[in-house]
Amino acid sequence: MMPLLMWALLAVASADDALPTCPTTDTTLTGAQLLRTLSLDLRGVIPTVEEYARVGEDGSVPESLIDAWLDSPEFTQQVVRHHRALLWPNVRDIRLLSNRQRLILEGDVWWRYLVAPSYRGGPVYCGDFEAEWDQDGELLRYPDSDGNLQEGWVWVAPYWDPTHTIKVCALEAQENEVSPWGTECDTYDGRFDPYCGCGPHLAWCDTADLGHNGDVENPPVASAIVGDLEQRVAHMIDDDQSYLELLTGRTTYVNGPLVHFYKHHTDVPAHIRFNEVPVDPDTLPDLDFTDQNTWVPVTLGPEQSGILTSTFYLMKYSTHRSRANRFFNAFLCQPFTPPEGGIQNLDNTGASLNLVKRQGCNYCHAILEPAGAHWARWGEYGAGYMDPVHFPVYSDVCAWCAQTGESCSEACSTYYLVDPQSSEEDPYIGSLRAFEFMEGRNEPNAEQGPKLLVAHTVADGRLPTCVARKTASWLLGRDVEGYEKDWLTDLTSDFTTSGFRYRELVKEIVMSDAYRRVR
Amino acid sequence: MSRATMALWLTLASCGAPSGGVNTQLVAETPLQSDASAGRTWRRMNIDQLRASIERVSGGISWTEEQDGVAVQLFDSLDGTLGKPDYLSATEEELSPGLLFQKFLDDAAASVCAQLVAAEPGRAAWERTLLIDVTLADTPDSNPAAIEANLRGALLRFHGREVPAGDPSLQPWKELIAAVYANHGDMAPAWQAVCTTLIVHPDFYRY
Repeated sequence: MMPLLMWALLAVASADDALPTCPTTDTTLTGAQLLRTLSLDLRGVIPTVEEYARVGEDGSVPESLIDAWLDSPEFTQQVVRHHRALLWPNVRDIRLLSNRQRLILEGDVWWRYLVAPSYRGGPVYCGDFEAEWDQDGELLRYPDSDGNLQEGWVWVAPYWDPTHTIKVCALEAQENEVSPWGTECDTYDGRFDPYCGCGPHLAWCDTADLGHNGDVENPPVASAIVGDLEQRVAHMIDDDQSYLELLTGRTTYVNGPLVHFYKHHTDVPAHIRFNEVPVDPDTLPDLDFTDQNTWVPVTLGPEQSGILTSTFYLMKYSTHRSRANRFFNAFLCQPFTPPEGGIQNLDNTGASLNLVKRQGCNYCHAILEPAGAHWARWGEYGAGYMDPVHFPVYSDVCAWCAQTGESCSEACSTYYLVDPQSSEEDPYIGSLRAFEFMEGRNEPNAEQGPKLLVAHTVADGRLPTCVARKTASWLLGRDVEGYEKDWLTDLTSDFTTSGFRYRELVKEIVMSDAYRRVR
Repeated sequence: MSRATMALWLTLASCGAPSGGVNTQLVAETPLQSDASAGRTWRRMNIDQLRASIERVSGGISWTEEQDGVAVQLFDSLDGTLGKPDYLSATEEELSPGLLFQKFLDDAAASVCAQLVAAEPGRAAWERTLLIDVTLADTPDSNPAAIEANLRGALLRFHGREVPAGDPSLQPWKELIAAVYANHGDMAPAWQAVCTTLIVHPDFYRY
C-alpha cells in the first residue's frame, strides 16, 4: 500500500489549491471548519455529515448546537481528559498491599511464598492433595524430606471471581478473624501467626492479576482510585456544580474494588499508610469486588477538600510540599521555579533545617512551606485525615519517650518528632512532624486544610484566573498571551459571576473571536 | 522513500507543530498589543480524537490487528508510542505530527480503508460512509458525475470541506482515481486510495 499511498499523496498535492503545505497565518475558519473544530474540542470527534448541514449560510454555527454539545456526555469526557493533564492520574507505581498478602500459583494451587515459613517451616507450598482434618478438627499435615510440614488444599470461591472455585492451600484459606493466639488476622500481625490465613473468600490477599503491586496494565484498585477522581470531575460537569465543589467538596465515589480495598486491605498496606482510613468502612455501600462499573457517592467528613484530599491526590503527591506544588502548578499557574540564572552565592555553613530560613532554599520554601501546611493533617505517605483528637499537635507521651530514651510507639516514631537532628529541633520534640518550624500565623492553614488555600486563592483571584487561563490554553492550543490580558480578565470575571460554572467558561471561550481565528 | 516524498512528509509533519513547551509562568504585565493575530493554533488531533474520527468516517471500523487469535485495538496498544501520556513516564501529550505519527497513521489508514471498501457494498445505503453516490461499477469513464459527487461528499465527511461542483480542487482527486483504476482495472483500490489519502492528509488530522 505504501507506494500507492505515496503516489496518491503526491498526486493530490500536485494541484496548487490542494497542496498540503502549512496554512497561511491568521485565517478565519469557515463555518464547516469551525463546526469541525468545535466538535473535536467539545466531543472529541469530527461532526457527522448531517451536522455540517446545520451551519448557516453566513458561516455561523447555531448556539443551540453548541449548547447541546456542551450538555453531552462526550463533553464531560473532554473535561475529564483536560483534568488528567492537570493532575496526572496514575498510581500504578504505588504498591498498595503488602507483598506477604500475595498469592502465587504452584501448578493449580494458590499459596503465599513469603508467609509459608510461618506455616510450614520453609518456603514451600502445601501438598497437591485435598486437605483432611482429624476427629478433633486439627488439620492433618505431613513432613516432607526437609522436615517442612505440608497440608492439603481446599476449594475456595475467591472474592475476585466468586462464581468459580480455586484450589488454595488450607492454611492460606483459613477464615479466622481472630486467631486462637488473639491475633487480628486482617492486620500486619496476621502474617506471623499460623492460625491466620487470607480470610473469607481470600478477602485479605490478592494475586498478580489484581495488580495491587502495579504489575498489570489496569489493576482494579489503582484504576478505581483514579476513577474516583474522574468521577468527581464528571459529576462537577454533569450536575452543573460549581468548579469549587471539585476542590472543596465532601463527596467521594467508590466502586466494588474500592469498597473491598477500604474494607479489607487498609490494615496490610505497603507504600502508603492507611492507619487513618480515607473512608469510614461503615459508610461504604454493599458492593462486590466485581462491581467495577458501579459507582456510588459517599459523603465524607467536614475536613475534606475535594480532590485535594482524595485518596488519589494524597497518594500521588505523598508529601505536603508536593501536594502544594501540584496545586500551585495546576490551579494557580504559579510553578516553583528558580530565578533566571539560578540561585547564586550559597553559603551552607551552619545551614538551618528550617527551609524557610535556609539561604537559597527560602526562595521557594518561604511560600511552599506555608502552602504545604494546609495538608499538615493529611499524613505524608498516607491517605487519611489525622484528626486533632487522636493526633494532638503536641503529645506528652511522644515527648516523654524522646527525652527519656524509652522505646517510642510506632505512632510516635511515625508522626511525631522524637529524633531531633540538631538543637534547632529541640523546641519541637513531641510535636507532630508536620508542625515543625511552623509559624503561628500558619497554624490556621493546618487546622482548616486545603479548603482555606482554595478560599484564599479564590478571593485574591489567582485560582479563577488560572482555571480560565488553563481552559483557554486547552481550547486555543497555546498559552494566553500578554496582549490578551483584558480578555482573560473578562473570562475570569464571567466565570466567577456564573458561580464558577465550568461549562459556561468553555462556552465563552469557544464563542470568542479568538477561537474562530487560526494561525 | 524518495527525496521528494520525504520532503512532502516533512512538510506535512511540520504543520501545526507546537512552537514550544507550555508557558506556565503567570501572565506577565506586558503592554497590551493589537489582538489582530490572536487565535487558535493549528493542532494535531490527539490519539483519542483520531481514533473516534476514523471510526466515525468508517462507520465504526477501527484499527485492529489479530495477535495470537485475538483482535488487538492498536490505538490502545500503541497509544504511548503515539504520544498519549501515561502520567508515570510521560506527563505531556506529544501532539507533533512527526514521522512516527505519520507512519502509524499510514498503517491505520491502510488497514481501516481496506476494511471499509470491502464492507461498503454489503452495507445498507444509510450505513455507508464512503460509497454514497457511486457503486464499484461506476468508473471515471462510465459515470464521472457520480464520482465527482461522491468525492465532494467524502471531502465534507473527512475534512469538513464543502467543495462546489466542478471546483478545480477536485481535479487531483479525480486524477488519483483515474490513475489507480487504470492500473488495477478495479474501482475498489481506487476508492481505497482516496480513503487512505483523505485520512493521512493534514486536513483530516489537523484542526
